Amino acid sequence: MRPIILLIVALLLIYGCSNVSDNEQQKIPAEINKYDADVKPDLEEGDSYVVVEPSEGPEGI
Amino acid sequence: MRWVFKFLSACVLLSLAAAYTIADSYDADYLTVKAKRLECVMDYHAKVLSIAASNVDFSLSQKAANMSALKTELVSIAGTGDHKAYQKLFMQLKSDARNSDDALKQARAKAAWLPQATKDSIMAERARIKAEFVECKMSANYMGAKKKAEYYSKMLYRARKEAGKLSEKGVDTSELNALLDEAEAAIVKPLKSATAKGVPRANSVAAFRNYCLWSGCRDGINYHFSAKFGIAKLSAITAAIQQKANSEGLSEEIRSVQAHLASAKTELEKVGNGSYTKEQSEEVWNHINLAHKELKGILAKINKGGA
Repeated sequence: MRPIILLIVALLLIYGCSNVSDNEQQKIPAEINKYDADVKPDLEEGDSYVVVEPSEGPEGI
Repeated sequence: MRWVFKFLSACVLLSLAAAYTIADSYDADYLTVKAKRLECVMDYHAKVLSIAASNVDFSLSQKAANMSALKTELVSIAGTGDHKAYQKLFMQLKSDARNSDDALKQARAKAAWLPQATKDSIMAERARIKAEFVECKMSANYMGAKKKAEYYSKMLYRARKEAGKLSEKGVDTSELNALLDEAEAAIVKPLKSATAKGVPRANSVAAFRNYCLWSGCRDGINYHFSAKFGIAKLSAITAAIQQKANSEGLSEEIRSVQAHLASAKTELEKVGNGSYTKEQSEEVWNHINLAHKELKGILAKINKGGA
């Protein structure tokens, strides 16, 4: 009888563990929501160096 | 007990409001300091135009006034922290500065007939305002580079917190963290080094110009952080929900998200360290936005609209 009891206990343990693991897997998508997946666009930083500075002529203007 | 709940709710609302204010003030602080260099250039234009207006062509005084008005508007927009509005005004300013210089070149022809004494006086005045401009620019570059490094650090810190929250939810964020470390080393560190104590201020000029966390540095490194972070984040979330999505018959949708992310990555690799062209930006972000939209749809289905 003892091996049968051991087998039943082992089967119960395997079943229990696999259930816990299923629950863990199901927990993930339930916790990640739409807002976690939000993205922000890249900033166009603009290079102030491309702004023309006043040129200089021989008369100072 | 009811007043306790009211008090706690008020505390929560106040702390949320404070968080938003801090977030906005980062952008406003950064743009205000960044605008300083442009203020120097616009001041210089306005002063040179004024000299030309009082000696050669009075109609240029209107252009000088317009330049000063644009400067006031720039300061005001920078203070709001609105990057889009700032960029829009910057484009107008670029075009106005070019027009201003063209008008100055036309006026220059008339200056050839001025008496020598007037020319000498103009030269002296021009030399004085140029020296002011050079000093203004040097100081603005230094402050700008320093603020840029500080602002970038804050943005990376915020992204790190976002990655941390995802990690707590079971998402593998190793790629996100590696990306954050790389951005820190490639962009923030060189900026900080260039503005460290004892380093010549001239170094900050190159640093300010050459390191962009996003896009817009004409000749330097553009990291395209948001695109890279977005792709890595959406990929990590997709991987985390893939098994569950497949079991709910959403494997086709998952494959579509992955395909968009792969295309975005390929397009981004083509851009490399350069600044986006309009087409490149559209191509990369079109795929990211589609992946984002589809992933949100999958999450909503998995969570049965409860997200």
